[in-house]
Amino acid sequence: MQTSRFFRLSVSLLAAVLCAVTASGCIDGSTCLRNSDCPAADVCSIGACIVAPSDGEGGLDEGGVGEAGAIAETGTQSDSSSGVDATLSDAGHGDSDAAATDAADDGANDAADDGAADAASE
Amino acid sequence: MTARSVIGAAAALLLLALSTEAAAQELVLGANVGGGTGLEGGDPGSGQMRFRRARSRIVGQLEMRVDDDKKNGIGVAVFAEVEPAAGIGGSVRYLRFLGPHVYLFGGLTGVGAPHTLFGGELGAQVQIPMGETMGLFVEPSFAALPLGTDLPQDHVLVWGLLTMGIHANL
Repeated sequence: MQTSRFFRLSVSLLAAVLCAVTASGCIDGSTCLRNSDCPAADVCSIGACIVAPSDGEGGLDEGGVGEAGAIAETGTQSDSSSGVDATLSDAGHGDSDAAATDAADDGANDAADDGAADAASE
Repeated sequence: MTARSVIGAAAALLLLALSTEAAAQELVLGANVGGGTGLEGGDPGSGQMRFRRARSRIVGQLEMRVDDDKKNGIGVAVFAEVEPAAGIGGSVRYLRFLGPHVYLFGGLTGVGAPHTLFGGELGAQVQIPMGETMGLFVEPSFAALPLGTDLPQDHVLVWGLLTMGIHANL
């Protein structure tokens, strides 16, 4: 008697679960509910996977200093004050290239100007 | 006969009586292997409950009770979540048998890896005998899991699961 009652209860619950699963309104498959729903480097935040925040700001600062150092060396090799200025104002690789290009352009322009001035004076 | 010998004989009789009673208690074991899924719900932070299909899992269970108290038992279970994401967990349950093949249970459950998730569970299991030792089992259960690193916010995750599989009396 009890067995048949619980069996009917189980079947009813199974039917309820199947109905709920097939009813699209009840399910939002793209929503994460657990951190383990996301890739290893991500966490679940308000239903969406986002990149996990770093442990502290030290890592970012270290990265910035390293990049800035590399850019400063580039500026030093080109012997251009504009490269150093760009490095101090912004620590990006793109700026580094721009600084090197600017330095090369400045050097070429200076050489051309010097050559033109020498020719004019002669 | 001295008093010392009388006390010794009494102690021996007592030990014999106790050992006889202990030998009468035999462990009644049952084991289940099956799979399950269901619904998983929680508030992802939007303020409303969201539901989706729970992760499919493979389950192994062991139920233990003694033959002179077949109404109460202890169950342990391990499970592996297999899709859409993987995890390993387990349960420890108190079993209250309503009949030879039906019991209610309540206990602690959780996931241990890759993140932790802990809570309580309630459920029932119905075993359908198919022979002397083998049978099938059907187990609806409900779990509420408020603790663990797998929760993105301080919200409770709930599971409504249905597990089915093969039962064996060991």
